Amino acid sequence: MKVKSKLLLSILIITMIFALVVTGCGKSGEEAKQGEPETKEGGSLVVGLSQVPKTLDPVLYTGTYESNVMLAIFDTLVTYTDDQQKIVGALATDWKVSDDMLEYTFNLRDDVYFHDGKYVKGRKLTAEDIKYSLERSAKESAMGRLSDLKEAEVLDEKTVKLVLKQPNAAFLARLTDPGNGIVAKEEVEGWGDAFGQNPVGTGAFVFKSWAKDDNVTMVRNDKYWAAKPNLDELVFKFIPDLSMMSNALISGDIDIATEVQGPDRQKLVNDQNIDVQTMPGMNVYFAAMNMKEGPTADIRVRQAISYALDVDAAVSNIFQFGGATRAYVPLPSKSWGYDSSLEDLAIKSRNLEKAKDLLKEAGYENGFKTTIVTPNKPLRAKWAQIMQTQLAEVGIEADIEKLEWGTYSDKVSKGEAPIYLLAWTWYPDPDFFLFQFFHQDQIGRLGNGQAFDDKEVTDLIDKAKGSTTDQAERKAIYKEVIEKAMAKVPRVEGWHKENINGIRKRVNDYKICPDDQVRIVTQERNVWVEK
Amino acid sequence: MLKYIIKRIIGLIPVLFCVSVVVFVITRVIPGDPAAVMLGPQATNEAVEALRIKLGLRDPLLVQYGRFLMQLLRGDLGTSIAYNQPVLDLILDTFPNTVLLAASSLLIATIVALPIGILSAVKQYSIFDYLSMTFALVGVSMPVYWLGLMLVLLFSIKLQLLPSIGMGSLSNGLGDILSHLILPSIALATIPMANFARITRSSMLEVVRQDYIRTARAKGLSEWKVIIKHSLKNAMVPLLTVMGMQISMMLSGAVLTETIFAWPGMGRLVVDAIEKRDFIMVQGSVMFLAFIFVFVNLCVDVLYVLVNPRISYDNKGGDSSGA
Repeated sequence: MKVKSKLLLSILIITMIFALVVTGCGKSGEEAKQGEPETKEGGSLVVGLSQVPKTLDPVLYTGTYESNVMLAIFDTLVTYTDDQQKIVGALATDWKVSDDMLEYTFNLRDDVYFHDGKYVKGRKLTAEDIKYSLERSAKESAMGRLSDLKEAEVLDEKTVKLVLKQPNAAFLARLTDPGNGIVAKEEVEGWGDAFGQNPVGTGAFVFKSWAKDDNVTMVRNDKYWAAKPNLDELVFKFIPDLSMMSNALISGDIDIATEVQGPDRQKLVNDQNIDVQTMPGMNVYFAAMNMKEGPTADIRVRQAISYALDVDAAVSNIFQFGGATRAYVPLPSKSWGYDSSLEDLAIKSRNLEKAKDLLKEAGYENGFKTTIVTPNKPLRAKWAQIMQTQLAEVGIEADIEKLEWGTYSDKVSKGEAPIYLLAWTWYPDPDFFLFQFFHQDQIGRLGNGQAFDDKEVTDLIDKAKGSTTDQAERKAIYKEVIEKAMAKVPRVEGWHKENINGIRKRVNDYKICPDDQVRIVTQERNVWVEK
Repeated sequence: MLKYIIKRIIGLIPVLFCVSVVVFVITRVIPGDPAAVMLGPQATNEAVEALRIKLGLRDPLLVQYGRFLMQLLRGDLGTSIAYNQPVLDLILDTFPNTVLLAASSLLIATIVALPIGILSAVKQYSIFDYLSMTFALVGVSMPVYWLGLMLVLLFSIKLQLLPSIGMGSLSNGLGDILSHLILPSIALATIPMANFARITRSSMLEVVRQDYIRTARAKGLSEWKVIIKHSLKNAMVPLLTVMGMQISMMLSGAVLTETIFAWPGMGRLVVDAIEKRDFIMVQGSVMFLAFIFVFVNLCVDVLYVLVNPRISYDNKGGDSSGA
């Protein structure tokens, strides 16, 4: 008994000590939080980009490297939250959508000013500017980014109504694109063709200079509506060689390296002055099979190929240093339309016997010859080689055709590729993936170069776009689209590539985004640096 | 001499004309539609078609070529598709950077290679000769890409002495540009340096065995005078030929160095244009480079005369190839 009570007492004491230590830790943790470095103003941040922008005119830009720079200069009516799960107001405070989904009415902020340019001197933003910018985009956008817009009406100084040609639930997603950034008419008309080299917007940073092929430099916009930027200066530096970009990060010549690749990642992880951030990208890599011509027109052959391929092995081989997760569904895992229960519909593991049986059933007992068409990009070229070896095991003899991009897209669009490896990345709205991949109107285009031809799927895609703007309802429809599409085994999903950024530790409040765009000042963040 | 130069300049016209035909045809036959490549995978068919019409891609090839030629005659290289800016402006933005890089590399290469080459020849079969020629062999075989990375690893990352990328800016002072210039110049200079050293050595070896050198020595001239005044001047002709070719190659082919060190030169501009199928940019810059190439060659031919008076272009027509 005595022993028992002693034991109880000791347990009690140990528990109390433990509790004290734990709460003590908590306290010191809080103290540590209070002791976190205080936000500092000033300083310059240098971001490395691998490609050189050609123009910074919103309607003319075509590449993501250009939108990286433009995001700092221009604002859009609405924008995605930093995690890209929701659309929130930016230049617009709020908006209403008419029942027929044809009219969007936006109320504008009252505290937005243009940068000081050559023709505009810090003028206040008005509804006229929205009308001018968006109608210009609708007419002149090189990418047809706002082709749905019929007209914009100015209701009063702070209210603007956008009228669409047809209902499009993905319209707001379109408006988040920097290509639909708001510009000042005086500047665009004053500069003419040279506006793209002298951009003026309402964004957090004011364009200062552009040394061709070297850097774009901007300074902070003191009157920025979301927050006064902490940085004095923001520089985008163009470094085409990716391993040199990592070296430049280590040597301190840049503060943020984008597009970090496998082997370089390891190098950066080992450096104590650098943080490495990763995020599953808004992308999907896949192998699509021609559904109109050749042996792959037979669903049994497509199934056989899916069983013959060991995607897990391929992914771990290609990404020896990490940097990707296997894909099962034709949608980025970070898209709001993604439903992980769909993953069970995919053929997940290799089964050579089943593959051979299916081939036999389809009349290809002795295999057949085919071609894997891939753009000349290292990841996909490597996958093509692995596929070639794996397919040989079931008697399918595949040649590899490695093409330069222009030739590749031409061939795939024309439906001339038996099997092709493609990567797709776009807005988080599923329409930008599923419409492109599976809509009948897209046959003859790159996205649906395999000729996926199904009336029911096409109707569902139209319904998801044209019948409601409610995200939950749309998600349910897209789920059905994916189920119906996957039942036809049109493709073998490869992987979702992770976006990897290397960041020097002196940089604070920076987070990588799923679309791999560099955001420095948003409504949720205001990056600052230790000097 | 003047007559020769005029003759050569007239001779350049057919050369440049041929270049214009070749570059025009090549940019048109490579697969890939510039409009589709530029707008990327997500563009609509209408957008691609509209761009094709805007770029004049729907016109017959002869019309397109005629337009190109007429522009050339006016000294206009066209407007870049991707940049929407005059090609000449873009070239003039970046070409000086390439010239700066090439010139500093040439300077480094010459300053190092000449003494090594001369000494190796004068002290043939000495340890110095063996060592320097071994280094020259290694230098010639060194891939620029690898060398560039090694230089950065050592000087930028380990020693933290020099910046790894970019060109710096004049607004930060001349020192900023110079410090950015050192690593890429060394990387670009290595191969020419090794070449120059080998050629100086072999050409000096040939000259020092000539009778007139023996005579010069017999006259009692100092060894220094014999080598610099009598031998080197005569040994310069083959070296000049190689240098001329190297300069042209550096100006047009510094792409790798420019890419590794993110040097904003013309090589990158051209490679980028090829990838983007910006063929107006490609044909404009190839024409520009072709002009520079023939111009440098002409200068070298003229230099022969200045260096070696035995070469003359004025006598009796005949062969005027110089080297």
